[in-house]
Amino acid sequence: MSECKSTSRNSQQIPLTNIADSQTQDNIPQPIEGIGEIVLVASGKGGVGKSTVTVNLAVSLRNQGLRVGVLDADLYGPSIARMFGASEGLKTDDRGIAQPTECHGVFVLSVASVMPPEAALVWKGPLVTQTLTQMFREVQWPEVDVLLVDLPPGTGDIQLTILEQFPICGALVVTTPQRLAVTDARRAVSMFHELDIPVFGLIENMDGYLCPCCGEHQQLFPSGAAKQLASDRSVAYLGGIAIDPDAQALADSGQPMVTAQAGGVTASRFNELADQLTSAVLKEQKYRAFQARESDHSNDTSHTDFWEPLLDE
Amino acid sequence: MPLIDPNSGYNTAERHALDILSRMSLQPEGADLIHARQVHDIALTGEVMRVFLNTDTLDEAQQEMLAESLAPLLKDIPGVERVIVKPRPQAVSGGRRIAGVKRVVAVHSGKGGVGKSTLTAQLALMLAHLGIKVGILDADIYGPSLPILFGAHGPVQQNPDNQKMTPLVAQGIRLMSLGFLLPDDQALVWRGSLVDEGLSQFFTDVDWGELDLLLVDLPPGTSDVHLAALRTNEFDGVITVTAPGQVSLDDVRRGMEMFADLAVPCIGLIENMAGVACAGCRQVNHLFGELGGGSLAQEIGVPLLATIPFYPAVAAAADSGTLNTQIQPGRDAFQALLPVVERLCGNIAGVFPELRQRSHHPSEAQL
Ligand SMILES: Nc1ncnc2c1ncn2[C@@H]1O[C@H](COP(=O)(O)OP(=O)(O)OP(=O)(O)O)[C@@H](O)[C@H]1O
Ligand SMILES: Nc1ncnc2c1ncn2[C@@H]1O[C@H](COP(=O)(O)OP(=O)(O)OP(=O)(O)O)[C@@H](O)[C@H]1O
Ligand SMILES: [Mg+2]
Ligand SMILES: [Mg+2]
Repeated sequence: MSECKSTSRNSQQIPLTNIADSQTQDNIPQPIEGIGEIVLVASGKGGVGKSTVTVNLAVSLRNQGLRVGVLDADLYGPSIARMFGASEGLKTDDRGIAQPTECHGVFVLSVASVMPPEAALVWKGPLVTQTLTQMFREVQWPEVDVLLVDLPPGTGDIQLTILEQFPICGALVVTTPQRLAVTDARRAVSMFHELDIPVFGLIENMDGYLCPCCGEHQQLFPSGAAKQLASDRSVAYLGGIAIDPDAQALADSGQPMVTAQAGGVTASRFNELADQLTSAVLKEQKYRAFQARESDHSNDTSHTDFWEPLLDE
Repeated sequence: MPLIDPNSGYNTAERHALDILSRMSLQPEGADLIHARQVHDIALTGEVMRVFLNTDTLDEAQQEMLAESLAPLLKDIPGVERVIVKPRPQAVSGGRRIAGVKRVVAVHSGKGGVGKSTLTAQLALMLAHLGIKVGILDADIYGPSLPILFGAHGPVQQNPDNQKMTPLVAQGIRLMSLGFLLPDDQALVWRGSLVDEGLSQFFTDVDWGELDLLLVDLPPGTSDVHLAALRTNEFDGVITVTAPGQVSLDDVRRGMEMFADLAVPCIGLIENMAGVACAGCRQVNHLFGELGGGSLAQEIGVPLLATIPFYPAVAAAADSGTLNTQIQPGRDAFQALLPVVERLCGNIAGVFPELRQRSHHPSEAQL
């Protein structure tokens, strides 16, 4: 983190981690039984619509015939259970192992379903790791093709732990149009890039709204910065989602927009996003297969490198 | 510790609970839980009855035992749905204060993006115009907003005498943010263990000079960062911000519980993003829900300081570092925040009489 030092004389005293160091190459996370591809829904800034996007994308993907799971990793502010209308507690199988709840055809797991709403939890580091490990690995996940993970905002402990401990296919970054949000999204993109996690694209949520009364299109936030970020960092700009006047009430009452207003503008945007996500995941799978073949070859060479001197003797 | 007096300020359900507690004791012949000062206090918020145990007079085994046995007894009291028995709130800061800073007020919300940072900046601007010396500490280390909100950028200078960082000054307000130290596209990735160490250092190594009030802009949620911020300096109070929708209220309530547990008093709740007026037809649309802040305030028993609509001009000004253009008498944002400032000034003036002359009615202030 050498750039960091140059900006502040004080930074030597502040222990900034070099995040590239914190993931060692030979420490590849083990796959999780039953779970196909894990896709993170991230943002730098809070309240930009990660949870809304997660819920609706999940149902969209499910409608396309995929088996989908959602894991709410926002331990500090879990919203998934409410947005799916999954308020009752976790079910356990006969061996006492927890099972995700099925809502709208999607398998949902949230900390909120295991803790009472007024339980204030200050999540200290070790507890974060322990809880996430439980949620990913100690729950009876049914077979799912895609697991969407709703993250808290920022680049903190939860993000790091997930990136280190679980096999992540890629991430979607959600932002809103204004600079205040895009600056944070930029930091999130940096984190993924530094850790070699593919960023499948940038989603610009709350991109204007249509007044339901007079039809006036109004831009609530000053815009333009999100496209700029996408082009600066060579990340796909997946397009905007307008503010939907019904979104709040539907989220509050546990109804995904994709289901409740299946024919609506917002629903069809989510369906398009789901298509874009599936093709990005397929592309990533192909790339991985290609790399695996490549590395087989490189194994061959190191193999011969090893033998060659011996043979010479 | 003064003995609990059931006749002072307890409601019916609480008095009922005190009555039960005063008929129980840990030893057969010993004093009851109240007279043995084993129960520190009780409080009913909403339908949740909390019993705070005194950790000085009870060992851990006794606390556990009481936690198990008291809950079923108190649950039957009319109006009580759940019982929480826990150790009494401990101020984690241990009374640590920043030299030269008279009062520290944090702005928090369990939910992201509800307007903490924008409101903090606006409040600071209003207070600064009243002649109050204000600073803002941006404790949102993963998503610092101060650089954009004030159009302020590093480098940060170090005071050669004490090696502390000198805050930047913009629009009359002293500012410190990790955003001044990090390049724009650099993600700060701190592990929990580093948060404790690095944050404390970042928070304490600032030379604020003389300040009447330091506002702390907190990140959303309930994490290590909040604890670290609180540990380095005692908060005199916290202002909680929420959006009106239920999704926000769930998280905000958790945040309020956290501060209650940490013995930080809540000054009040601000409901932000309460409706948007259409630029075309002036129709107000409640895009982010309606009325939730008021009901939460009532339920928890804290004042609702203000209900603030979404003003597109504020969003634009926030992005361009010109919120000072909105904080002018007669402008929407200014008027909407007046009650908060009054409350805060009342609060400050109560403790610092010398501020009282300066903090006259803000609407009369020369801005
Ligand atoms: N396209 C939209 N139209 C209208 N309202 C929306 C839209 N997207 C999100 N919202 C609302 O905005 C608020 C924030 O959205 P959401 O909770 O999904 O954000 P988040 O990024 O998950 O927040 P956090 O950082 O707190 O986890 C919610 O109240 C949600 O209902
Ligand atoms: N009353 C308002 N009118 C117009 N815009 C607002 C208002 N309140 C907040 N905003 C804008 O909404 C966005 C979110 O606000 P802000 O960044 O202050 O929230 P926050 O709670 O600090 O978010 P985070 O959780 O990420 O720290 C910003 O672009 C901000 O300028
Ligand atoms: Mg969320
Ligand atoms: Mg903020």
